[in-house]
Amino acid sequence: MSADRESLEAWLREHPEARDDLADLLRLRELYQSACPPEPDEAAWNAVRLHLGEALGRGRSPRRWWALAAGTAAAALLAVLLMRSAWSPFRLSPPLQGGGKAEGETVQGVERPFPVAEPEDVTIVSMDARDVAALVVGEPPVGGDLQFARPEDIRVIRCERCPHSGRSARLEQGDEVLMFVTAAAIAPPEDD
Amino acid sequence: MATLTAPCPHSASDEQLLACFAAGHRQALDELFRRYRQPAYRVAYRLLGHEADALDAVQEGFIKALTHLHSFQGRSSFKTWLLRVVSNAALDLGRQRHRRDAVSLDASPHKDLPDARLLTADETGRQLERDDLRRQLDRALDCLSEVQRQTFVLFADGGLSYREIAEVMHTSVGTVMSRLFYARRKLRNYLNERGSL
Repeated sequence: MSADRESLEAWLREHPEARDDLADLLRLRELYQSACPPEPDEAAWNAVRLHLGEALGRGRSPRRWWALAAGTAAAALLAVLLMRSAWSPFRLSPPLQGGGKAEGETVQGVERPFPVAEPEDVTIVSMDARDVAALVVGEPPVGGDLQFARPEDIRVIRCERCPHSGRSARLEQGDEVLMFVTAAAIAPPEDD
Repeated sequence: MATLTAPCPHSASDEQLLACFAAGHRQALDELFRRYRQPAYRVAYRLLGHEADALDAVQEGFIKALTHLHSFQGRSSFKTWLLRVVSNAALDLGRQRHRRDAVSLDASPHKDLPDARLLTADETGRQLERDDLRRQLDRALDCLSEVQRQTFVLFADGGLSYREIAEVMHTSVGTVMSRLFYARRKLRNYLNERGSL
């Protein structure tokens, strides 16, 4: 018999009236255990487990000194370039051929069309799996005026947990319409 | 000392698994998750009353428990430490959401029923009774204060002893007993008034 149990038994001998309370507490516990919450399906568990691995993997990856040094060097180089462009705004632009003005050039000579890569110009050789969520591929989604859906236009059939964040959205009744609410960040555990 | 090449057997103790995890063994995390996901989920669910919220709390709890292992320091069992973090995460989440009566997507009253075509009429009836009882028990928890609810849930669903609950909540065993006494009385009154027992 453990020391805790012995001390409890001793206390109960001094307070026999509490035996019924204790018995009732144990019955209540059995009742709650018999009506346990519905278990999530295996897919939901897998999503949680997947996110755990990603989150803990990120936190546990060793910091490499050379990566830190490279980042510092890149930041320093960028700062120098920005300072140079601020003091001499035309130096970064290539010289214009024939002395004419380029398309889009203003009197100040700095507003030139920004070159944008076409889809065929880009080949993704590899990328970190964690960055997949940030990758946008395809044509711009908006071609004309935006048409907003009305609440009655939408019927929610199913809502699944996000495979990347592991979080889920829920539908709640707002003042006038239903709205999706996602989990907010949870504060760190209290140290009490 | 565990190494990256040494296997982490399923029979390993929690301490061994934590050492394996610290050494970078992915398998150790799998095993810790498999061992404790259910009690962690049950505690979170009872405190939040919602499956998706409970899974969020379990997820946050595991992440925080394993990234703050230096705070754990082996003073209690890993299960006790984990349930402390999970229950705190669940209470934080519940405070943020104020336990609103959500029009939840999975709030269909019999969502957790197995496929009705596979059940006989008797089985379906029993399942409905169990679901009704569970909902009554969950509602009864709402009449408890936050500390009473956390104490009772750690006792009933977490399976922790008085001493373990006292460690989790940084209080004395006597205070745990007192909280359980008042929690039991309130729950009993609530359930008796509604004829749930």
